[in-house]
This record gives sequence, structure tokens and C-alpha cells, in this order.
Amino acid sequence: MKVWRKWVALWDHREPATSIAIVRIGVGLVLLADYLTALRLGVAHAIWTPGEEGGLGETAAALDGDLLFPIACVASVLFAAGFLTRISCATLLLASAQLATIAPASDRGIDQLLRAALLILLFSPCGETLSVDARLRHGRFVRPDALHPGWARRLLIVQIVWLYFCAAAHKLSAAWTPLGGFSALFYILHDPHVARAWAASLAEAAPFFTRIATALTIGFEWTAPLVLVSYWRNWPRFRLGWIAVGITFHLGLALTMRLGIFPFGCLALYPALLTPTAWAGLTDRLRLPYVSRA
Amino acid sequence: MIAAAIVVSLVEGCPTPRVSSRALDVPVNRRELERWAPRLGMTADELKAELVERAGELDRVQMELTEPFRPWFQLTATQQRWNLFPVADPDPVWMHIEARLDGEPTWSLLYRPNDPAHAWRDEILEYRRIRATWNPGLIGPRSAYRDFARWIFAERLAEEPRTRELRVRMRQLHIHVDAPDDRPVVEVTGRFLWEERRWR
Repeated sequence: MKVWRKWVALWDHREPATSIAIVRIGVGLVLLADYLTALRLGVAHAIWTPGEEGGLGETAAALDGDLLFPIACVASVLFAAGFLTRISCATLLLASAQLATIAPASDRGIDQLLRAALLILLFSPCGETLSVDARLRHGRFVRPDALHPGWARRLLIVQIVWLYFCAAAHKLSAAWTPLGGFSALFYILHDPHVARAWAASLAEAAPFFTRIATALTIGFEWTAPLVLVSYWRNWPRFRLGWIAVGITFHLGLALTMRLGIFPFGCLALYPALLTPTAWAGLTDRLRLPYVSRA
Repeated sequence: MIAAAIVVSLVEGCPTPRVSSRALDVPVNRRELERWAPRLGMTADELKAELVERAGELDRVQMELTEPFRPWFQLTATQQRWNLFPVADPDPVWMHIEARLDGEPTWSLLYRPNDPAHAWRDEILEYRRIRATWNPGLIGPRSAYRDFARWIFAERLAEEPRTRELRVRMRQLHIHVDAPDDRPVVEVTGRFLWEERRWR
């Protein structure tokens, strides 16, 4: 019973909703940016139209892609703004899932990750601060003093840890290990379909750098579960170091590879790794009043 | 509720190997088998058979355990199995889109990635959701590849009505990590794979 009480206390711990509100804004904006890219390039209709009707999709869904796409765009704007947060979150989640049904090939891992985050945020108090809803209901856009159950932020941390740990467990090919000389990134940076043109030159100019980066990547992913331990054993320096490596890793990906929203979608979840207290301390230090304690 | 959600998600996303005989015949995987087999005291073919059998069993168990929750995963189109660049392929391919006009015998190269001289519609073709339709997986083209060839032909035809024929194909490359000075790091072969042609 003692263990059960501790388990319940862990998930029911009250805290400001600042961290998950920042995640909400990030996830909404990343999805919106991706949809706007499809719109700007004029390919939204082609992507979400079944092949038999001349598009690149596979099957029809409950709603037409031409209807689902604007719904997803509007829902992502509302969700990021925190307006009708729960409804816009559910709408965005279901619209994204239906778009994935129409065009499964175009739906990548990052889309699934962001939907998994939306599922958590759907039941969370992520619209309780930094949102239009907060302004309308409570008269204040920022509510850092209102406390809510912190389970959603903890669940997002578990999601982040599982993402990297699972990715590490799949990287058993020799190129990711000392057996293959940590050569994985050298190969990946030479893949013309995903790497930027200059990335191959970088790899050739400094092959040792790619070996170090490969070892760091695999080390970063395998040590993800230690982030959970770091909260339990209070290792803030380890956690901050791990977060710094993660941010560097994703920015490095964005610079050297054409992976679309992948690096930014992953980074959108990172604010959950910081407690609302840490956010308050950070913004106080930066003299930003927005998410600081009242 | 939270404990149940975590347990179900972890079972669904458990990184059990999902390998097929075909996938293990791909050169990069074959090399892995040959590398590991002697260490495990068996031949590469024995290791392959063992892997396929064990992976199949694990996959069946995983499917049975998650069966009651499948409608939920389908409704939300989520999964918890994350494999980000599990295999770094030393033998990647390089897509070429070529077309020829009425009365012209030769093909013109329109697009290939990372080639500024042949960058027709590069921004569109490199958008992640479009790239996902033409970028092949380790064992071959994805399901949308044929539709991509048809679609890009229609796009070309709309822009250049004299287009008679278009082809999409993948040029085989080999990457050499520790290439000696007299050998290029990227070996561009003359071998093309998975050609799709469309014409009017």
C-alpha cells in the first residue's frame, strides 16, 4: 500500500501548468509550420488524395483530405493559442490521425510522436496558463500561481525517455558500435536523400568528428533512462547536461540533414523536462516576466 | 489508469526485432549476420533462420498482448516503437528523375538530390511528406512509389506539354569509410534500381 500511495503521490503532485503549456505551444506551432509548408508548396491536395483519384495517398478516410487539412490547420492554430484547448487538441489529434490513414507513407515517426504528445496533453491542464482560455476564464493570460496535477509533465518525460531508449535498442547494427568503428553518421551524412550537400564534405574533412558524434548519439540515447533516475536521486547537473546534449543533437540534425520538422518536433517536448520552478528561475534570470511566479 | 497506459504502451513499443528473410538478405544486413554468426558459433544462414523464427514468435506474442488495444492505436494512429536510423546503409541509392520530349531520343535529367544543376522542383520533392513517397526503405520502394511516378509525370506534363516520357529510378552508390587516397569515398555505380516509367 505504501508503494501504491507513493505512486499516486508522484503523479498527483501539484504544480503550475507552465511546462506543459510551453509544450502545447511548441507542438501546435511545429504542426502548423508543417501544414503551412505543404500549403505553400501546393502539395496538400496531392498528398492527402488517394492514389486512385490521382494523388499520393492510399485509402479514403471518414472525411475527405481536402476537408481534413484545413481542419487540422485551424485546430493547430487554436491549440497553440490555447483557445478551446481541449476541443482543439482532440480535433487536431483526430484530424492528424485521419490524414495519416489517407496517406500512411507520408506520415512519419515525428507525426506519431506529436500525436502521442497530443494524447497526453488532451487530458492535461495545458490550457490553464499561457492561453486564451486562461485569459477568458480567469482574466489573466499567465497563471503561474495556479496549481494542477503534474502527471502530464511526468508522462511526457517518460515519453521522451522511451523515444530515445527505444531508438537506441534498435541501433544494434555494427556501424553504431565500436565493432563498425562508429561509422554510422559517416554513412548517413553521405545519404543524398536525407543529408544536406555540404554534410558529406564535412564528414570527409573530419571523419573523426563523425565517429565522436556517433558515439555521443548512441551514448545519449542509451542514457535516457538515467533522466528518470536523475529526478528521483536529484541529479540536476546530469539532467541539464543531458538536455544540452539533446538540444545540440537535434540542432546538429537540423543543420546537416533535411528531416523536416523532426528535430523541432522532438525539441517541442523538451520544456517538459524542466520543472515549472526551473522555468520560473530561468525567466527570472532572463528578466522575462511571462512565466515567472506572480 | 496511468500505470495501465504506460504498461500497454511499453508492451506495444517493445523493441523486439521485426525481421524477415527478405530483409536479412539485403547486403548491409547480410554483412551483420556474417559479422555476428562466428561470435555466436553458427553460420550466417543458421543465424538468419534462428532470427527469423525467434522474431516471428516474439512478434506473435506482442500482437496477441496488444490485440485488445489495437482499435485505440488505430484511431489515434499512434505507436510506441521508435526506430530512428536503426541501420546506417553503406549502399544508399540516389534518385534520378529524367524525361524526354516528343521526337527526342535522349533523356534529360530533371532532378536528383543534392545536385544544384538538376534541381527541378527540388523544394517540393524534398518536402518530407513527398520524399517519404519516393525514398525507398532498406528492402525496396515504398507503397506510394508508383503513385509518385504517375503524379510527378502529370506535374511535368502540365509544365511541359511536349513531354513524351518520364522515368524515376535509383542509382546505386557505395560509401567507403576508410577509402584509400586513390579511391573515392562515394562510388557512383552505373547500376539503377526500381525504375518506373510513365508515358503518353
